[in-house]
Amino acid sequence: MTSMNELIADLFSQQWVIDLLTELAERQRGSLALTEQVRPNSAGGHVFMPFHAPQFPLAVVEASGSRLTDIDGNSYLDVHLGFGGQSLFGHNPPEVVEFVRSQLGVVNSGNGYLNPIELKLVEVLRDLVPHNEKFAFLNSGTDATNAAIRLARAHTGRRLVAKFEGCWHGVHDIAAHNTSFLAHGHPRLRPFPEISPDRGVTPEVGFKGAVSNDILVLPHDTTLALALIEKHRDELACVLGEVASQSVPFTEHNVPRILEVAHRCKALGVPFVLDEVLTGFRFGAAGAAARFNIPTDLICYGKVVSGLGVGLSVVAGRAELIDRMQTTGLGLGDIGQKTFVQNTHSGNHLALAASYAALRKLRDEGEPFYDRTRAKVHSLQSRLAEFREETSIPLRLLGFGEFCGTFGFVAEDSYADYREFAGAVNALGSVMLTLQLRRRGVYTFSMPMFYTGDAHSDADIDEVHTAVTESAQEMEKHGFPFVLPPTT
Amino acid sequence: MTTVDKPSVETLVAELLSQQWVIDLFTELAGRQAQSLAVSGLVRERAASNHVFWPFHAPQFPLVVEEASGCRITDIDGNTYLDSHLGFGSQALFGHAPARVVEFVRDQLAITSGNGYLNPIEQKLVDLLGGFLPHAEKFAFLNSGTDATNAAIRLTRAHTGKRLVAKFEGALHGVHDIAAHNTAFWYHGHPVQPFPEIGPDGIAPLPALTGVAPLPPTELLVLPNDLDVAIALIEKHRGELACVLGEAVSSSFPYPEHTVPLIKAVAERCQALRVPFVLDEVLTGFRYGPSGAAGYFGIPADLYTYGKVVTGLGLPLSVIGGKAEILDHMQTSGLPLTDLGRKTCVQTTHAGNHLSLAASYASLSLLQEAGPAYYERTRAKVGRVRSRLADFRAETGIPLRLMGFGDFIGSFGFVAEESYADYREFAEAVNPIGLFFLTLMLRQRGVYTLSLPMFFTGDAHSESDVDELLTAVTDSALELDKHGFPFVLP
Repeated sequence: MTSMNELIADLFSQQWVIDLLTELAERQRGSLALTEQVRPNSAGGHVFMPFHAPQFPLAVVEASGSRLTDIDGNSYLDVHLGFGGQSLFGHNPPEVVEFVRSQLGVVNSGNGYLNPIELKLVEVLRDLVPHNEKFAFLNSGTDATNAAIRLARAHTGRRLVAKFEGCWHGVHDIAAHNTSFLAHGHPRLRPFPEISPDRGVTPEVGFKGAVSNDILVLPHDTTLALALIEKHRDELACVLGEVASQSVPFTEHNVPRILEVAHRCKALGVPFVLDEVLTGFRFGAAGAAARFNIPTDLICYGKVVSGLGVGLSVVAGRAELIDRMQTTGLGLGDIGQKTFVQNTHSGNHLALAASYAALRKLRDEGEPFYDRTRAKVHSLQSRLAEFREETSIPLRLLGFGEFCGTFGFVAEDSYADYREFAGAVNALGSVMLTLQLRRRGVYTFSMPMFYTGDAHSDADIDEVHTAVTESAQEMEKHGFPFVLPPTT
Repeated sequence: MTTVDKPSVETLVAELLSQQWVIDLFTELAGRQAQSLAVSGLVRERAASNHVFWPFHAPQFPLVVEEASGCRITDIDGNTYLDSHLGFGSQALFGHAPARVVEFVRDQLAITSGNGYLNPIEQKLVDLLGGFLPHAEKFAFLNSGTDATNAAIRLTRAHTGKRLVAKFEGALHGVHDIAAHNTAFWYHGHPVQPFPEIGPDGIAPLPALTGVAPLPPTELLVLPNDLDVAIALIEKHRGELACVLGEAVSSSFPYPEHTVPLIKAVAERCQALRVPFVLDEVLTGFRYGPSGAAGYFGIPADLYTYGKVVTGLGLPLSVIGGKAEILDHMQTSGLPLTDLGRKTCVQTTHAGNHLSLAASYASLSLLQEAGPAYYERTRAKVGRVRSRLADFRAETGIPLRLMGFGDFIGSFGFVAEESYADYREFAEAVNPIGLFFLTLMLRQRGVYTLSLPMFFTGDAHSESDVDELLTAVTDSALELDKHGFPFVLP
């Protein structure tokens, strides 16, 4: 722990870092003033999220396509795009805005009624993700994974939920366990917990105040994970998995594992829940489930499933499970038979309308949308390969699903072992790169995330490339330690 | 404990459903709502979550709504209804789509930043909330009332390092695992299904929802609606309690004359014992005057949760407010390293998005402008409804009542007494079949409620709207009487 703190203290006393912070403080004066005004009165904003803790939070007054304007009048190329929520077409796509505008006013039935748009949205979803029999609309990805757990428990009458170490499934009590290494300080500040062949990874709470019950944490080791699932097959309500996330970004290793686990779950009659909050409508319009042919009982969608930032998430899959939350048609018949995961404003009219307009556009764009995105990412990644060749700076764009990713400094192209990858990540490099990008007019939140799609033009990608390579070169000039010494 | 014989309710329902007037009512509604039924049938096959498919509430003849303005809604078949449901009360302040809220949100569209950025509107909304709710030091924005009560539990657990949560029997705090326990009687089928025993450690935890296992006594303490017993239990468990969750009055026990003194005494005792008290104002917030039940009755709490009317245009937004030292558990210290092991996370990607903040700000600004006169108007309307119903009861002997609170959140129904001091006794007095029929007979008369004859109001309804509603509800009751409907169950 001391070594990390010493490293930070040393870095923040260097003149170039002081100059950088001074420059940002100057150009973001209005944002900083507003942030300091809001901070004592409001705890919930994204710029105050714990564990991510963005430095120099930005107050944004205008957002269009890939461009942001902050309250100080600075303009940024946005590669964060609302945690990827706006990464299909960028901010405020005109077709989506127009459609939502047309639904405002007397045609807006708000929440609590059946609006004909729900049927239209269901039809678009059926076209895009036809492997799902039935859908349910909630507010957040957390709602969706939490509802999937509830539905699987209702369906099986069992309690135990298995999740993989390091996977981020939201903020509820189960998701609060053994989540991204970043939220635990693994491995540099706190060692990873023990792995037992009988009980799996020792459950560990990342979010204070979460309660540990009925949870089995699986290691990223296929043989061990399968053995644990088989051992606990009669207690398992479901196994929750994802093909990739920022803390587990290497699909070449994760997809075969998840595929094998999903097939084994199917054979054992244990419901498998695929969390596609991040990967849904990526990997092609049908998401990872279809691209990799992963058998699932339930699938969770969030992020780009909604439009304009209005909260909407989806839990979908086998009707038999989804029906546990739907009335039989008679109140008396529901008692003791049904569960409830909906809330007053979930599936409200404007959220459905924004989602419908955005996904309709995605359907209309078709496969070329994905071809364009892949080409952009490929161009960026190959230019970074050349950059590494020329400079020996280990600057990489790690990511998946064309494209949810992060720029960062790691020695290897790919890591087969989750814990080894966690040890290789240079969190300090992420912070510095984020701030260097900011200075060069490229906005990311607290880590140098890179989400794209039609949000960015080829020229935007060139701009990102220039900003990221120049940032890395400036860091090198100041002797920045790109690769941290291995943890012991 | 008396229980109603289950077969007798089912026999009663079966008998009613074979009567000609009931068949005529159903036929008429099916005819006038033909397209609504067709569309809802299609949606039902493919989507489970819409409010018209909610379990336990199970509305009959779900309506597909194409237009909503003020208190009027138009369905897909072209029928117009006076809406007394108003989106579970969320649109009850000014009715559907108030012009100035629509304009404000329209102005933000295409310009502001979605989710994930600091939007200057947040500060404006915080200033407005601070003015309404001076008892809250700090706020956080989430999506739903369920999020808010769940976050309150997480935050108090983080703050105290303890895990036991106390809630009252029958109180509705959302759909999360703790809220799923000993909730409103109709979710459990009480009293047809007997109420659980009240033992020396409170009421046995009983989940109403499948997929939720009874929580162990280390995590949940269910309090009876009995002041002395509740306080004794809280004192006994003071060393284990992360928080006590309460509401000033609940839709399952709508008698503030009994519930407010109880909750106030409990809140004060919690304060003395230094056990965090969470007041759930999802229903009562911005009712009872703009400072809610907390301000109106002076109920001290560590955290307050808001939902429903705190938002605008049906967009998801909820608020948790209260002591900064508790809310700070979810806010970064400023550096990720110092957050490790010390902070909790309850935020989600789209929580506090720009359109939700904008709609909430615009709607609450209207409430601020309306001032105390808004509440006086509402009280006057409700007072008139109640006195007309008292006259009606005196004239007809039909026990038609408007039960409710907070000027005004309520439900029409048939119960023998004016007020019930005991929650379980009230649960037994409620005639669910009466609620079911009253809903459908109101529909026939052009008054819309979802599945129960709810009545939420505010500036949504004019005096003449209220007259229309009164005529519909009394006509419905008279018709039920004409057919010999059993208003009071044996």
